[in-house]
Amino acid sequence: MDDRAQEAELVVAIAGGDTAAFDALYDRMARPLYAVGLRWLGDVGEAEELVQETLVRAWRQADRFDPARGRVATWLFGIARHIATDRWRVHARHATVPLDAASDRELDGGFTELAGAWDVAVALEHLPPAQREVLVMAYRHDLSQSQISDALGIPLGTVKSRTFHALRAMAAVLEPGVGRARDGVTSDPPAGLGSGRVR
Amino acid sequence: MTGASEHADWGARVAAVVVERRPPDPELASHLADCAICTDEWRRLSGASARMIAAARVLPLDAVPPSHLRERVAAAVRGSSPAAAAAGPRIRALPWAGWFTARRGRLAWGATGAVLGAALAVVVLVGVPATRPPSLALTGSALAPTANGTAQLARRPDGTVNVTLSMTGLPATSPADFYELWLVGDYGRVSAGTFRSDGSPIRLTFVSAADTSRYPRIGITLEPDDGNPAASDQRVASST
Repeated sequence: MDDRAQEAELVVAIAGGDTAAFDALYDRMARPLYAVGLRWLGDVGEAEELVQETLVRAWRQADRFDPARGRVATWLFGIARHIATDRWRVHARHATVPLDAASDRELDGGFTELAGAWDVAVALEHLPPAQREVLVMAYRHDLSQSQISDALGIPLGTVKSRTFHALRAMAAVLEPGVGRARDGVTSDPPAGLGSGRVR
Repeated sequence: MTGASEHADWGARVAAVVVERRPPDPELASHLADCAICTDEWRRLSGASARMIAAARVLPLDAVPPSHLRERVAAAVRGSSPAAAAAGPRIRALPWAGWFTARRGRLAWGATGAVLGAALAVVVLVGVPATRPPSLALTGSALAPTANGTAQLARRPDGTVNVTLSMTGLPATSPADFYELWLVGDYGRVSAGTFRSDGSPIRLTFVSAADTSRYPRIGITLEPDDGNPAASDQRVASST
């Protein structure tokens, strides 16, 4: 079962009151939700509220999720977007600077921009922690492979193999089927480069 | 060396140059010219890399929710429908709920040594002011000689940091560029956010989940609005 189908099954289980399924959904979605909350609302406390409110609303409305209409991640993003809009408007009413319709348009533009980034953040949660770590250090902290090797105290070759498999996994999640037609390499890591070596 | 492992070795080299956004060395370039499989790999990894670059620019992918949030959300769920769970068991992790379970396992280590934990807390609390100054003075570079100000670092209980930037003398930005605030360390830098200036004094607060012990200095660069997430070399102000 692929990740998307697995997430859909989680929501079905949540609709039946399965708290273990909800816990698993938290594990997968809390970090991406927290990241978009920080971006949208610009405050740690507000980001926490966004995570909580989104997941609680998902818990209450799980029976409304229709896998035929889209992925779980997309459904959660929609819930989070509504909540963020509501919270942002509440704060706007108390702002000292008047906020007009243009501000709403700016917010909508932000949502559109973040939709692609949200997919990436969710895809990162599918990676083993060691692979996720090297990608975040490379792209978020802008470190070279050698600098990551130094910072983590692991061989450069290990960093390179983790990066390779991490990027490959990201490509498979974000753009499944792209560029695979002529690829004779199996999807399993070859001997010596598998996730079993990842520390 | 089998065909598959040979391609994997090349793939690791391809990934390294893709992630570092540099051209392939001559040997790799020569191989790519002759190998359709590795060329496909290059295209696929480059696509994923482009998505990572774009995402890292707008989202704090290194941000981690505070550990207390999990219990808070669980408590909120216990008090709401579906009714089947209202009085249900305490939320537990599924066996494949990977990294979070591992983290909680590490936390359990701390719980077994209350005295050690308390001592560690004292070290952290006492050590923070000594290693992370609450306010850093910023001075302008040759690009902005009149710029000066401060960056105040206020650590939140969850470990994230509010960076409050107060600056005067920053030249006004044009529509084609913006300023970017960086937390700077010995191994690199982390963006804390972007802003524009109309030339008047500014006071802005940014939130960062970066470890300020690894990135103890502050820098501001002028960035062209060209979609390139890497820092430019146009440093306009920095802490000493």
